[in-house]
Amino acid sequence: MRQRDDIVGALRARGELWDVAPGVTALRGDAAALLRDLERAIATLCCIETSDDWRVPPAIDFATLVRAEYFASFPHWLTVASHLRDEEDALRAVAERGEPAVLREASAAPKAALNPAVCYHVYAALARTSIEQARIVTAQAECWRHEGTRHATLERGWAFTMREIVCIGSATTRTRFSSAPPSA
Amino acid sequence: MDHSTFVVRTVAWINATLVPAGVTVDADTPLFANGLINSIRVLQLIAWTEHALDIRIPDARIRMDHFRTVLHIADTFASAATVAGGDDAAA
Repeated sequence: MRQRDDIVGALRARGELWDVAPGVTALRGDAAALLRDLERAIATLCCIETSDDWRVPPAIDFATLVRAEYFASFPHWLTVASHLRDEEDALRAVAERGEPAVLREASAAPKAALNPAVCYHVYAALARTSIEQARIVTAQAECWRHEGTRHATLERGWAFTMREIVCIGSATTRTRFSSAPPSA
Repeated sequence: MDHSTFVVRTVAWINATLVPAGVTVDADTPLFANGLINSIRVLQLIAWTEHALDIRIPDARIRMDHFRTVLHIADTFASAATVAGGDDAAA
């Protein structure tokens, strides 16, 4: 079996893989086609479990993460989303020198986080509601986890695609669902 | 499994399974510094801890502070597991 480094090297040489930032990887050609095929296959498997396939946004509000106790668990992987301040001096500085230090100075406080996982959207959407029976939801989205400097192309990225099956129900239902073999 | 046995076995398991080649941890090594244990491998670490101590770790106790080093993990979960005779430490 070929090792990951060999595959990454070969794809780079073919111009089918490149990094736009550490852990943020672009694909085209055969590698992109393979990824699309895998996504379709995994989505098909998930749809055996549920037809409730959600489309969630690329970012999540902080309140949802607080409620899920994300910041108390492993907050150091979070990536936040900011924007430039609507102030003429700041915008002029960026226009003249679009350097990281200038961008940081001109940025507003973050108002959302890029998805660390997909399931938080499901929890938020169903919060403060009553369900008569277990809800099983599937969704796919781009997620971001900053793993320090130990990104490994095609293995652990800062940005990557995640598809989840989320089961909302009683503890018994959840345990039964997570321990059951996949539906045939 | 008692505290010291858990520490020895967990350090050995992490070195054999979780950390990149050429990296060695000990009981005091910060596991999350510079991404040493990533967000996927921490799930394996939690599962290892549950299996080794025969406990279930509730979501509320899955905290970076509890898993910061092997010693932290042992102090948080192994002592309670020993006292509780292997039952769910946090229940």
